Amino acid sequence: MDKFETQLYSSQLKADLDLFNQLQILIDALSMTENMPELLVILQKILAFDSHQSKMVRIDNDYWFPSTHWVTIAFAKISDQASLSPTKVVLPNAQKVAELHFSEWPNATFRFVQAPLAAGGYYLVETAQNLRVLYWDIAHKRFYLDTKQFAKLVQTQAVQLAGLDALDIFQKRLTAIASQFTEIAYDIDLPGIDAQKQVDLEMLRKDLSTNILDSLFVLGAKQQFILKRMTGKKSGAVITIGEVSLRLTTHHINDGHVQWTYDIIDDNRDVTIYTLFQQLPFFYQWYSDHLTGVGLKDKREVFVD
Amino acid sequence: MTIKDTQTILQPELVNQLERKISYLRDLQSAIKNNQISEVYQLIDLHKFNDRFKNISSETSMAQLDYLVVDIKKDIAAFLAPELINYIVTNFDFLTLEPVADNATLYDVYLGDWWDHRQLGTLNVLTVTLTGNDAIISELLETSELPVTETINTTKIQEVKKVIAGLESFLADNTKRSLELQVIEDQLSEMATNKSGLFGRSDKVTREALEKKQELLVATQKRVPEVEEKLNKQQAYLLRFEKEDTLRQLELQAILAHFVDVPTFITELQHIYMSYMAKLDQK
Repeated sequence: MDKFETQLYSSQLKADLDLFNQLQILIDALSMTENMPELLVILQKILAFDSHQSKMVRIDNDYWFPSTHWVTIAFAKISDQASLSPTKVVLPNAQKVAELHFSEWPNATFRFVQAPLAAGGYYLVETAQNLRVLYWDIAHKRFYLDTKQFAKLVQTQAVQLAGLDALDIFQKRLTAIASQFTEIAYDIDLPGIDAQKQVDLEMLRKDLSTNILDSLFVLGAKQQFILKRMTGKKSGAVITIGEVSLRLTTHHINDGHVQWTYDIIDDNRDVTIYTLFQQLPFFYQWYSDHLTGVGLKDKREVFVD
Repeated sequence: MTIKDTQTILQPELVNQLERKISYLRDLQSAIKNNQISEVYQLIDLHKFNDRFKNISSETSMAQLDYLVVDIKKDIAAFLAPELINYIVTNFDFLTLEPVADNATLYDVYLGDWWDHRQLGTLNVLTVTLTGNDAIISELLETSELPVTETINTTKIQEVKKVIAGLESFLADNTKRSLELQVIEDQLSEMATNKSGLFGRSDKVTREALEKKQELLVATQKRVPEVEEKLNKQQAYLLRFEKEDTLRQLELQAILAHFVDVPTFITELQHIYMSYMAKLDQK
């Protein structure tokens, strides 16, 4: 029988309590900070916290949350600061991860899930349809939009019902967050979300076949939106929607191929490609039918299904 | 009669002939200089001008001097083109004209400015004639006579859509077939390894029935690539038929926005020389 070392027990207990005290300090700091870079440092420390470092104390109760919860809390703070439209954190009954509510989309909820990648990172996902919005890699400073699923998300009833203003607010929110992240050397890729940057949105495939454009012509004409051949210096095709024109422009590149881009020309700079997806079902149908060719180029490698 | 006598007799006529040519060129030069487009057309084809526009027959001797300017006709065409094109795009604003490469006399005429617009014909700037595409014109006539809900390709589109629905349904059932096949394979493997189990009585009939079903399912699955190829083909047909209809509908809409019917439009095109000369005459 071993001799019980009271002093040893006491010091181990103290070490464990000190460890959890550190976590408490971090969580307190997370709740208090208004400074985004500081918030991210705190979050990284929380994510790096490993409760298994404790030798004796085990915490296992309803209030012990996984990393995705703290990512949600941190993102909610950043999101709330980035927009006048509030972001709320809600903890549904018997759940371990908080959900996000962006006020502009009252009928939709979002949560963070871990990305199944060696590099780590998290996906922000809309819960009802399980559609991804973005990838956030806190450790490697990456913030990417899932253009494919976000385009699908803007078609969902909850988002459709909220209307164009809500979509506009949400896009501005993400753009503002991205802008703050840029200041701390993040790699940002949110194609098509910023109403100020709606030209040269590259399509996935070069050298589009005529059939693809024929298909847009046929679908558009059914709704009285006529695809026209572009005139002037640039070549391609254009559809005019009121005061906005959606251009599919060709660019001859050095390797002899033709790169196609979307250029949305709107003098008011309010409209994005996602606004058009939401407003013009025929455009989204075409986009979705030919996604492998005409899909927006994004950081597809991080979006694993 | 001496050579000198002959020359004296012939000389006045020769001088007259030269005078006519010089006068023709001088008139043409003056008309171009003064931007008198109507006179230029008159000079480059007097017969046509008189027959079609003035309704009078002209003497042969007065005409046919345009061969004198045959080598500069393309320059004359370049001079005449802007006014004529302006007239056409003003009076037929749904037509788009594009110059034919290396030929200043000809312009390709398209219906509309939409994607893949069809070429209605070719305009000759010197003769002010439009050589039309008969196939397009007869399609437009046919479309205009159909009920609003119908198009030339309605039946073909319906048939292709039916075929596509069948092929898509076959492909959609593929997941079901794969599962069914998996179940049969599991059952057969069970029968082979577990003699004392459910099939312990070496139920030959059951095994054979399962094997037959397996064979059928495998054979059906093998058809998937072929069906996919067929589906692609049918989808290409559908797109072609829908595109043809779309083009015709847009063309018809554009024509009927300006003319009471297609025959009136065709007549206007055929009489473009006369209407243009009349317009020039008003200036």
